[in-house]
Amino acid sequence: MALELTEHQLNKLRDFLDEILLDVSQKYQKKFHPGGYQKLEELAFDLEPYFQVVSSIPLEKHTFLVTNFTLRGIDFFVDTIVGFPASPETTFKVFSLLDSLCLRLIQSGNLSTTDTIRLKSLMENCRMVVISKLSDVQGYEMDCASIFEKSLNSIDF
Amino acid sequence: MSLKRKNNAREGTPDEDLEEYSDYSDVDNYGEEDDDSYKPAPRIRINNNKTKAQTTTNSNEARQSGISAMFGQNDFSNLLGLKLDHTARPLWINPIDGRIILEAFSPLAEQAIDFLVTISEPVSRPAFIHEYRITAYSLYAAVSVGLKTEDIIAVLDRLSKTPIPPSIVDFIRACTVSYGKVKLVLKKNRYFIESGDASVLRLLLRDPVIGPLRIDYSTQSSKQKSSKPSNEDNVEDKKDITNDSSKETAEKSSSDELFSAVVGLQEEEDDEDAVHLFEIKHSSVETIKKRCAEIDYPLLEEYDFRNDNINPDLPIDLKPSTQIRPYQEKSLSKMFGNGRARSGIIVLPCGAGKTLVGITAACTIKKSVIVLCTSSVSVMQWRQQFLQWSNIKPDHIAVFTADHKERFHSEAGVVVSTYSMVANTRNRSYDSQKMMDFLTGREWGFILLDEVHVVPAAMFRRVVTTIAAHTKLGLTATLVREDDKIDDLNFLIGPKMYEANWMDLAQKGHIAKVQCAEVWCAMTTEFYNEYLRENSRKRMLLYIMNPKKFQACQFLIDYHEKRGDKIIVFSDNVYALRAYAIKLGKYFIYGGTPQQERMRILENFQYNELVNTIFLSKVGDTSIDLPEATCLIQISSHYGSRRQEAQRLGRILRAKRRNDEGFNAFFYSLVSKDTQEMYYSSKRQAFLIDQGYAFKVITNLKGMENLPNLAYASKAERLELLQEVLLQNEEAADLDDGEDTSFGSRSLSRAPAKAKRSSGSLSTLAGADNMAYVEYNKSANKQLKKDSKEHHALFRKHLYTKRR
Repeated sequence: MALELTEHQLNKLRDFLDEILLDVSQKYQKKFHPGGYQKLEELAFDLEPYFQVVSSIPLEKHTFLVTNFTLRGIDFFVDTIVGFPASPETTFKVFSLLDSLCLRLIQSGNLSTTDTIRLKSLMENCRMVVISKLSDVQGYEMDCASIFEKSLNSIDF
Repeated sequence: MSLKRKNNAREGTPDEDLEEYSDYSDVDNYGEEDDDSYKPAPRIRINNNKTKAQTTTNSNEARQSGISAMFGQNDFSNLLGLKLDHTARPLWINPIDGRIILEAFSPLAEQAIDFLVTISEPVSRPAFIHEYRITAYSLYAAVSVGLKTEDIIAVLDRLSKTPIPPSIVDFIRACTVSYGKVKLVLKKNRYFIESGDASVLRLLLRDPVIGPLRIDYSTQSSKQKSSKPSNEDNVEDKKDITNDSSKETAEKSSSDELFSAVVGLQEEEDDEDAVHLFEIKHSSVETIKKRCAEIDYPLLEEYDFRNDNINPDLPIDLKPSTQIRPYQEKSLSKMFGNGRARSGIIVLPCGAGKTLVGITAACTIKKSVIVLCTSSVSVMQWRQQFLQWSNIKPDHIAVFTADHKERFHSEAGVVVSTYSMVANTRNRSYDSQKMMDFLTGREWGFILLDEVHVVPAAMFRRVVTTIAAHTKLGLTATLVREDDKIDDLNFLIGPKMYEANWMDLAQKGHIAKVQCAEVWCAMTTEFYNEYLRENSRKRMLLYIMNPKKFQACQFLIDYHEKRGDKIIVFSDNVYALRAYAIKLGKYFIYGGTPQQERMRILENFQYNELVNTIFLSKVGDTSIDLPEATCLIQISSHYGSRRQEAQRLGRILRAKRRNDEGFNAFFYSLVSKDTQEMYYSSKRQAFLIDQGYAFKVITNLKGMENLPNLAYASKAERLELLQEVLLQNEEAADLDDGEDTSFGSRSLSRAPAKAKRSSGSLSTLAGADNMAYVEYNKSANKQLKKDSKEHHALFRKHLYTKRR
């Protein structure tokens, strides 16, 4: 695996991630309409390649890029949770993947304080959103508390 | 029509049935208005505006003539025909101006609202009927979240009661087909035009203006050679994506395979020329921006600051105790979503933390920053905010105002200044000129433009062309401009990247919930008689100085001070400001107040428990940071300015104790009844009502008569006040000039020589009343006559003759 990407590779990467997020966003904006998503599972399935590619970008030289792609993806996903009926299993599955992604960023040591604060604020907000969304669903109290548990515990301020 | 809605909104206890009936009549009014008007929809594009306007006009005329000639039912149904299941569809689109009327009570309303907020701009959202407007910029925002032309048209058609008008379809196509396709990217101090669509780049290169401006490094054969591998890559990438998406399990190895599929193939072509971008010179940027706007491919500007090795880095970071709210993070994601810095405007309500968004953006870019504000007080507060939220050293922040002209001595730093200081074109002092040379002689990674909506567009153009900044961020609480010059901002700074709705933030607890009330104060008999006699300018002073309004203000201050609130009283009229404040024994600030005194008053208001009320002129609309105010009373304002009303409400939106249940902030607008002020007041409230706020009308403040030490309680006091008001010149009815921008000549103009009028007689005009002509001793002549016993011989003869 290469440690650094060339300019052309970065452009290709940006185009791919932008395209996949725009496509998912388009279908989300048309949710409950023909051609749009009907439930959260469909959206999570289409969004998974985005996070897979982001998690494979080398961190040594591109920490900032990975951070912003991650922030944008998490911010989008947490909005979609609110827009659909509650789907606990899919929600926790995606957040488990996101927790690994954020943990990798935090443990890399290249993250600036500003980016760490943005990540921390967003992760804490995700917890609040999920707790509110699943407040009427029984049996997931412990899972709600463990969202981003590893990442938040490894932040040292 | 709009007055009806405002009247309904102001009713204290609206009848539900009556309100429903009123809403339906509003819908009928919309229909009637549409039948009467044949104005073409407002078009923003320069070249196509006339053509499309003429087309629309001709189409309307043709329809009208067709209807008048044939009187056929088919022609009518073509205009207003309803679908068979129209009762199940919640919206209607005006074919003339793009307004969308939504039935909020429809079962599909919730889904429709989510979609409409994405593709159009909310105009008003009362309880039962919402109004939106499709504009070019709202469609740009829709494209930015991935919606395509056919998506928008299909969903609108599904929700619409009538078929989508052709004019709307054409407008949507025109605005969405080309937005977001082209980017202007600055990386390593070189400018590139980027696009994900190769055909768009070819189109630009064939343009007679843009083509010659390209910097061409490669040969013709290389371009031909590189185009084919690009096509192959696209095909292979699609195959790989398809294969990977068919897998149900997500594993690490599949992630690596997907990543290699995305970027691995490029390793073989490291030496190839880039297919999707070309370089231009720095001096050509402005020309290309204009040309791209003309041919309907607006550029999105991005700054690849992480790869900028020429401009020095600024060591700045947020403090670890900082907490970023979700909408603030969303704003930042819009700006930095792909790892570059995008220029544009962020619209957040007052109290929602615009300053923190700006500072976080500066901490992310980590290049030299210049912040432009509207006043000297804002400059000092921005400096204070940087020190509060970030770990920047005080030496790295420089202030450029009339009183301070300093520079940072490090490689990179922050400069905070005002628009007028930077945009001034008149003669500068030596220090100012030296500071301007410092500002213009270097490149800035980031320029923060505070309160962009209040600055004239011409000044903006001077600022943007003077300061070489790679990223531009405009912050504002409202984009409402009375002169409709939002287009200039979009061109000079960039598109609106994010806008938060006030009511949404209030419901989530990020800003305070506000109770809005309009207090009607009856004019006293003496004042109303004089009001009917005087001219318009004196009338303003009469209804501002209405004793009943004064008493209402006093009562509200007493009530809210006992409640523990911090109160701001706004008055644009300086005479009234001083009169009210001195009578009630409160501090006041207006344009002429020195800055040191201002800061002292504001500090006491913020930290001193004994100072709970201050009076402000319109310098308090935007300039001063008032973090602790929870109650606002408005006694005088700038005619019917909607922006001012929104700005003043924003002064109390900062959520102080948002976790307390039932906590509210209060906004009172005191209006003298049966005067022109009521008309102005209803006009000013239009923006707030459109945002969903409801104004309650208070006609009687219970217990006001029993307030001890009530001002002007007796008729004698009121007559004395009336006498004082009538003696004032018309200049006393002037509004405050607002912020003093520290130009010396303006302070002199504040005290012009005043002419006085008095009655006099003809001797007065002749100057005989002068003291030089006053007679001191009227009997002096008689005394002289008695004393002269010896006469000259000539006169002695005559005297003796008379005696004989």
